[in-house]
Amino acid sequence: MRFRSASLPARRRSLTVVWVIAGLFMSLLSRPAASDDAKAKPRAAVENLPAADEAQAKPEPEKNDKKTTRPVAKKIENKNAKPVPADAEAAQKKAIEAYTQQFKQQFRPALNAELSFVRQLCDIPVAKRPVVRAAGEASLEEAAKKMAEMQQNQMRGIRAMGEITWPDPAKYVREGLVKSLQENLAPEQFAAYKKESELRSAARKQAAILCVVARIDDALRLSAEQRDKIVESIAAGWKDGWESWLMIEQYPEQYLPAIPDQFVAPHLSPQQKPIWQAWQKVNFGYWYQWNGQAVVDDDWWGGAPKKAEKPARPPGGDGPIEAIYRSLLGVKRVR
Amino acid sequence: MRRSRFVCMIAVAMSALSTIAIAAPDDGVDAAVSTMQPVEAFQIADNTIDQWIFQGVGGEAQGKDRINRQLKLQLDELADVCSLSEEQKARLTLAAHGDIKRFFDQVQAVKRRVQVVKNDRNAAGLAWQEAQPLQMKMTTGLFGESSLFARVVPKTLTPEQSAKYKSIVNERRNFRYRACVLAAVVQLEGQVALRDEQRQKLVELLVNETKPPKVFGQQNYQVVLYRLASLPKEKLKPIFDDRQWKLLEQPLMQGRSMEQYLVQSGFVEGPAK
Repeated sequence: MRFRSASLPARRRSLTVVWVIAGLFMSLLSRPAASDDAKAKPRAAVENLPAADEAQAKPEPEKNDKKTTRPVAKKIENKNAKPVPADAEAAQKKAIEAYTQQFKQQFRPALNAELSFVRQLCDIPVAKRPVVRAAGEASLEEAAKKMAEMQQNQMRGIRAMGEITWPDPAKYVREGLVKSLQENLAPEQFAAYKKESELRSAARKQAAILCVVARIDDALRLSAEQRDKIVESIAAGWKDGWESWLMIEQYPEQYLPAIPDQFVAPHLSPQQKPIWQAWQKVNFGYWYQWNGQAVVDDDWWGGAPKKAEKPARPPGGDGPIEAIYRSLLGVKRVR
Repeated sequence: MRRSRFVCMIAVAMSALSTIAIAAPDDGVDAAVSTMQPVEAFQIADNTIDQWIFQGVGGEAQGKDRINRQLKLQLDELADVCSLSEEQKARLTLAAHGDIKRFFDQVQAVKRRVQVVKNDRNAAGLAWQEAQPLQMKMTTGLFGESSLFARVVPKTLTPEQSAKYKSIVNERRNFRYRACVLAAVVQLEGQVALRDEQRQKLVELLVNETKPPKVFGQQNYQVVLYRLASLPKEKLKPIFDDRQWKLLEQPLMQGRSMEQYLVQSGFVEGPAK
């Protein structure tokens, strides 16, 4: 490229020079210190990217070491993170607020499904209905805010070592509503609701376990006895978070959720074990009733809740869900 | 004027030097990024096809290993249930190896075609189109109903052996279908909340009155919705109250609308004429 200084007005030329020099200084300032050791260099290159991008920059793990979960969960601060100035703090608050609104929209089906369940089962006194709904809205807000904060922390370089436990929106909403129902329903009505709620959890547990065992069965040709033993074994060690296994239907056949070995391996034959061990197991994250949107009968609930402002897109361009998916799947942002 | 030109030249030189300095080899990832940016050449990497077809398995070698191990399990099960003779075993093994060979020949053919056009950005889409059926096959298994193995099994087994084998296969299909139905009903509750009694009635109706899909996969929920929509109203409606029945309209409509796709993709059989 030829620099045609003679054709530029003197003022524009001076400005060009100023910009070029400023650019030069900025480039030099943003470089890592010369004394940084070799390990710090790749980190410096990715320090401003969200966790997923950093994960992408790491070398690939051993092919047969497919589990995404790591045993220790410990929060660490990014050593390179600088103190947050007041302006930046305000910007962060704004970003968290924007993310919160987006997560609220995202998680709303969980609340709607739960309200629909309550509506189906409980004859809540008319005057109490808005109170119960408000409790549900508050717990939705709480779940969304928690998620937004974790998201923001990740982007600032404060990240959890090991498995990240994202808040389970359905659990937040359920717990918020249960508390409110306990206060606002007659004891026998609340007991009936609790019972139905437990039966629903049992149905979800059964569905999740059978889906997983059916997939294993297809590949490993289990005998009926093996199937029964594995079902029993998983049911005995069941954890609430495993409801996310219900998402198995969305994953291709080559994937399994991160089922602890002890529930399956002891029941397999020596021929089945190598396939089980080489099978890719992934963390499905959290599950909630994302599929479809239950219709919330506003009239029955005593009017629609106050409408929130339309969420702004958080700074950085990523929506929260995209960012979490990138984080979970290790996919880089496409610019 | 001459002085200004001099200043500009110095600035440009410094700017160029700074770029070189930033791209210094000791800079690790920074260097890689800044030197890669101007490169516009497009290339389908050699392992891309493997990543597409053997997704979640690791690669061609691991894929082959998994298929062979699964085949062995399948043959062992057959031998165990049907007490196969050596001749029967050999015949079935030969058929299965025929399927495996055909599959890996197809993989190699796609790789060869991609090798020729690997620098052509437009060809990437075509490569994906060619690889997709193979990926699907890898996902659903090589020994499905259109395989040589599946066609040889009934010709190799005696009627008694066939009956025993069918019973095992049906047991497995029914187990999986029940799991799919349970998961689909849980999913449906996102739109229509159910009491436990209703949930159980709906599950039993679906399991007993509808057929499992021809192939299980990521469309299981859609298949169950399609089956649900095909149930006679007089059997389905009594499970729900009026409000629920109204809410069920949308998922039923969704199920009906899936028919063409599910039939064309081979998940379910076409409607009886």
